[in-house]
Amino acid sequence: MGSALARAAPRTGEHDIVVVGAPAAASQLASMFLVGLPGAFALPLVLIFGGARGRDRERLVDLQAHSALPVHLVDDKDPILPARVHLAPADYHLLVERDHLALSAAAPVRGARPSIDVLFESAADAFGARVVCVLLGGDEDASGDGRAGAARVRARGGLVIVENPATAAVGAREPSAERPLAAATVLHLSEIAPFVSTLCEWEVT
Amino acid sequence: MTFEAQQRVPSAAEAEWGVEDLEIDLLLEGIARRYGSDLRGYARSALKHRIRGALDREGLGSVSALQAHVLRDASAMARLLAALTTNVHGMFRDPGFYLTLRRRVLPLLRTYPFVRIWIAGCSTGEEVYSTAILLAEEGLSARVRLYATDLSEAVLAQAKAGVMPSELLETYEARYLEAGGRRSLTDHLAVGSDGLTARASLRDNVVFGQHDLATDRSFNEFNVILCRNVMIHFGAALRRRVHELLDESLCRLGILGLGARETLRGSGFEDRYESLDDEARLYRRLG
Repeated sequence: MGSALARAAPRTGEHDIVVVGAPAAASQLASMFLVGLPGAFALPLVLIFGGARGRDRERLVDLQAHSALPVHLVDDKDPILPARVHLAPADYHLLVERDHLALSAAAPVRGARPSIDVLFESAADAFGARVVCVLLGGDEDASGDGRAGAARVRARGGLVIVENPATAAVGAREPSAERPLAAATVLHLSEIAPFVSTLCEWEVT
Repeated sequence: MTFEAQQRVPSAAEAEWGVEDLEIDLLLEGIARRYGSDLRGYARSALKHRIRGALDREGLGSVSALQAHVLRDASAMARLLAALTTNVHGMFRDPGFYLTLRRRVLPLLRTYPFVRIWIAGCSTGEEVYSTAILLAEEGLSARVRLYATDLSEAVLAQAKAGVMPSELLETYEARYLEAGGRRSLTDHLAVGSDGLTARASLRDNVVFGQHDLATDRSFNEFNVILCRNVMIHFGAALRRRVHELLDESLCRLGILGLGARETLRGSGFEDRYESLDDEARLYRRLG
């Protein structure tokens, strides 16, 4: 773990936003990620559960219990604020614009609304290379939601972090033959939060 | 483990992405001038995603190619308009909203001899029939007229037909009961081979009409306006315009219903309304 972080650590100050996607069935992965983030984490973070249905309130309460950062359920046109977890509501797509978040009731994408791909793609469009995208449980999700969006983030020079399938919740499986995320940083779940934390070295004064 | 240091993105690729934005501007300009449908004020991120989807479906390589196609072919334009503007809502989406509508708003309507309700941006009609069912069960059908509008003729035709996919019946039934349903949903919808069809009695007092919130004006005064999950698709300026239009169209103490994740913040009309129910996002226009 130590050597992985040493090799991979990017410079701070190069990113403006962190977008995190997980399949709805693997929501505990997000709790385990959030618990590792320090309260002084200063970037805006957008968290989405692919295909989530209902239960927004329960999810919010559960995540807040694990997070030192405030977790807010997104309302349409909410400004993107630093040091906050913006939680995508169920049954809408969530998209990133330059300075705010936008919801959409367009048709599900490959059966999912919210769609992780839609969020990641919009983040790549709005923030280009200044996006950090984290895909949790991605290799385990049969739908592959998030992979195309992550590939677009990568294509625009953003940083893509994929959870190592060995720690994923649904059970280990060989990574799919199609590997659009070959250039991603693959980390164990426990390594992701410390790694993401290095992206915004907070001022200690 | 593979990791590559952050690469400087090639400027050619950056230019290419800039071209897509320019092409979208030109497409929307072309559509507005050729057909009068104005999508220029829509939220760009979601619109861009839908345009890319349309490119895939039409098998076209660029937004410019799509523009050339739709400017010459009105039926392709109708398809595109539907693809860019159709929103998908099940019946009784957010049952809590309908329960509050039933308990807090419909009793107010009893005090009026005649009531007009506008469902602005009705899409394929699920919200219209959900509301019509409530009115029927509360014995208000006879004195309420529902005006259901959408900008797309294709979508309106579907709404008017009142046919909805039957595989969702179980979900709809559960939400209907959560929304305070007094009977069975199948008392209101006929289950047939082509789907769920709203019974004729539900449609009797509904008027369907084409209306574009982006370009058309107020056409009546209403006691209740439901405009749920419509303005989420609009940018800030268009959203303000639509709030102005709705405000003009709402009578004194009229009720405005927004989607579950919408607020009046940034609408320019925050001071014109009081919240009737925070959770349901129901507002009452002040005098």
